[in-house]
Amino acid sequence: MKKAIAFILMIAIGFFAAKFGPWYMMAFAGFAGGLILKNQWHALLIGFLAGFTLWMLQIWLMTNASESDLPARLSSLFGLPGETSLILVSAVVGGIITGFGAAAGGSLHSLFYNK
Amino acid sequence: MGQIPALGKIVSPSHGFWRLLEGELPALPEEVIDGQLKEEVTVVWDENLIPHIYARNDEDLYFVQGYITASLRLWQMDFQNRAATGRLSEIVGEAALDFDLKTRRMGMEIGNEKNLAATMQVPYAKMTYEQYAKGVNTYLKTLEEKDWPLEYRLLDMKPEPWTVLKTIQVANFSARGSTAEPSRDIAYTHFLDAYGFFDWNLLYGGLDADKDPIVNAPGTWDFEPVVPSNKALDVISAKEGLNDQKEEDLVKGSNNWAVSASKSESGKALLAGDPHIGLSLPNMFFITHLKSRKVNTLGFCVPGVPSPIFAFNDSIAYSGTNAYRDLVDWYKVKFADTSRTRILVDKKEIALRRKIQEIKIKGKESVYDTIYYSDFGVIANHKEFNTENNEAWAFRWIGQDTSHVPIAIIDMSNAKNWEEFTTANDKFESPHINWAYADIHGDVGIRVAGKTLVRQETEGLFLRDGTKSENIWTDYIPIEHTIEQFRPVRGFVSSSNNYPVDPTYPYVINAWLYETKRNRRINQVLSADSSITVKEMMQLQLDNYNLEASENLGYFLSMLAYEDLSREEKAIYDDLKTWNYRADPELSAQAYYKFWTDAIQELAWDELDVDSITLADPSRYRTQKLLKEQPDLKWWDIDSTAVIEDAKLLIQAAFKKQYEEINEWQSENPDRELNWANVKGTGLYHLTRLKPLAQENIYIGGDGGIVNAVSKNFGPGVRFIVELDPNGPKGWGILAGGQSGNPGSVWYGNMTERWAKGEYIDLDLYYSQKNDNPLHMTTFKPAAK
Repeated sequence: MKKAIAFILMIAIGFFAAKFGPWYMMAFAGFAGGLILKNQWHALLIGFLAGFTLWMLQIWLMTNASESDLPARLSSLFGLPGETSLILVSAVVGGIITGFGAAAGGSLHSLFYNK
Repeated sequence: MGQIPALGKIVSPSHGFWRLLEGELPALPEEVIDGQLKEEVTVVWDENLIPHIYARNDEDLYFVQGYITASLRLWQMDFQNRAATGRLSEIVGEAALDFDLKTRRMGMEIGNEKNLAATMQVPYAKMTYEQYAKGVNTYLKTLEEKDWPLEYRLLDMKPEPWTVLKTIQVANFSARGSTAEPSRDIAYTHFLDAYGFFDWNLLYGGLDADKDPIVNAPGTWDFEPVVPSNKALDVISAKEGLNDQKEEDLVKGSNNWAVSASKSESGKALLAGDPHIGLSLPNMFFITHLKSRKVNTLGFCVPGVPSPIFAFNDSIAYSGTNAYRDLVDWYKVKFADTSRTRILVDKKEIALRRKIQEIKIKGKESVYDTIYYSDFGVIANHKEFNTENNEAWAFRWIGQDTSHVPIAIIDMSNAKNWEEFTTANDKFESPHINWAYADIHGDVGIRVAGKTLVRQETEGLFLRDGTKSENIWTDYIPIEHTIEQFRPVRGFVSSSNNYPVDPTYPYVINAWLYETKRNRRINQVLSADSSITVKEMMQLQLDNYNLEASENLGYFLSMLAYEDLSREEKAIYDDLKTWNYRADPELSAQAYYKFWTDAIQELAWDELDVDSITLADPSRYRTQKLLKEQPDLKWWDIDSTAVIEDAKLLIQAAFKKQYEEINEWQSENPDRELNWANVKGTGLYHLTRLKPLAQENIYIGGDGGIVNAVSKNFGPGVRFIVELDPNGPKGWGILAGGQSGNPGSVWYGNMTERWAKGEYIDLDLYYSQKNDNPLHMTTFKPAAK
């Protein structure tokens, strides 16, 4: 249950914080959600999934609404095979950033909990 | 892992490039409220994303223009300005250092300072440029980092505030390509050193001045010309160094023509313009319609510059082509001593103004370059600096003089008749432009405008002596002696970078190269037609007829021995023999012809292909003429072979070379059909040269020297036609590319396909009166008091 709450929390904070704050608020969102998780490895995993899902969803909506072929052009610029791989790479980056934030949150939690 | 954060910024959906993806509608605001506005301004965007700006006063007009130009082309303006001022190394690193050094050593900075001062003295011009800059900067303030154009992220750049000086710098930058870079002083002197004047004259002298100049009005030049003062014409040797890059033979230019009411079917004057530009993304031009109580003009603006360069208003239309003249001199100067702070002129010591340029380089220490300003131009620390004799080279160029272009373009766009147009146009001093003009009274005119030197024969074509004050530029052709023609008897005017005037014009015309084919083709077509329509004007802009081939292919083919050719070579021969001389995209003959004649050019001038010194190939026109007329010239021998070739053997060898190159192309492109469009491979490249941002392999005909002058990456990136209807002029035009500079927008390259097919869009001076359902509207409102 806590994991599901953490997951939703990270997505919600990540969505709003990045809307108004700098892009690295994703790590903060992970951290905040991670605080309620005891196990930093679980936190890392949940954080990754939350970041990945949120970015994936956002990018998917943006590319769907767009008529532009820029993603294909940029994937070729970055040496990737196509638009889908660029979306995946972006979402993975979102996952890693959130995951690390969450792991930090989880460690902090366990630090206090274990004392 | 350290790269993940940097990557995060680029790929984040909230802050990365994904934000730049646009849907059917570009990301344009509906309402902008700003305290700097006086009254409400409406911007109506038509279906091609052309902004029609309706303002009630001119202050608001140019403010809004600056704002919306920046909203679609911000990075381009910024980048062009940095290129113009020698600041590219800041962005791309050491790779751009040579370019930056060259830019700064041209001394455009002196010209820009003078132009800025001149512009600020004219209240209306001052207002225009200041309001435009304010508009750009107001947009910048609204722009969050997460919305910066893609290129800022890719190149790790930051946007900078705009200034009036930046506008002047961008406006003046175009002069570099049209008047400074075609200069052949260095190459000609090297040639003279090696081969002497007789050969120089044979290969380059006389300027291919064929019998079809821009203004052909013998006996009408009834004025007393300024007599050139007696200058030392002794040529300084180039043997002690000074080299430049090898020059290409291709005349980079444009076409324009205008047909008077008497010669047009509708009884209204018509004007056509297709400036030839580097085929880039974004396009060099941004189509804008400006409307206030005083202004009503629609035309092609350079992003960063408020008034259009080529345009029409409710009374007149005009377009330009480059007018080549020798406006560059290189002088050898002598320093008084090793301190290099003074030069010797007439044996007297003259102090120099010194300026140290700092060139910032990304990821490296700055490079400092000392530049001296003298009456002989800019003295730079070239690597060819002759330290032993304490001598150096000075570069004098018209771009270092005052030019009132910023004032001229405003006044031209508001001119109502020929008199107002010429008065305004007189201020367009540099670069030199052939202006075609048409008006609602049915009249047409043309003028070869620009501040021009009074020269003696061959003066300034070679390196000059910079120790004599008599060689300093002093004599300019008076403005009343400008080459121009209004209401020509033949009922039309035209120019295509061709020779300017008939031989009775009493001034020496010195230049390096003139177009010889496009002009004659255009004049042929216009002369033959007594009732020209808009459709025919469009067809002529798209004309793929290869005049050079029609005149010379028969001769080239006659030099081949058919029976000695292989089966494949015979097929090429037969294809060429039955060719209609059109460089249409689907035909292969133009590809064979191009490879063959390029090979002729290369083999003919193999002697001039030397790495150690700068030399220039004679023009294709001159080469082909000489081959026909003097088949035994020593130049026809190909150095790398044991036999001594004459014209015939050279042409045969070139045919073999063509065959090999065609085969090579086919083996490199096994899946592509061998036709002209595929072989040529026209592409629009992004200004960063990043290939994925380009539009490549565009299916289009034409080539350099053909009216539809689309080569691989240069040509008519803009085409437009205006019918000067007294009840309201009508315009049609097209851009290669699109109106938006955002690669994430559909409007980035949406016009390219139509451009390639030869289609036109409406350029409507009365758009909002007819369309109540535009693509989008943006309202600019003054802040409530």
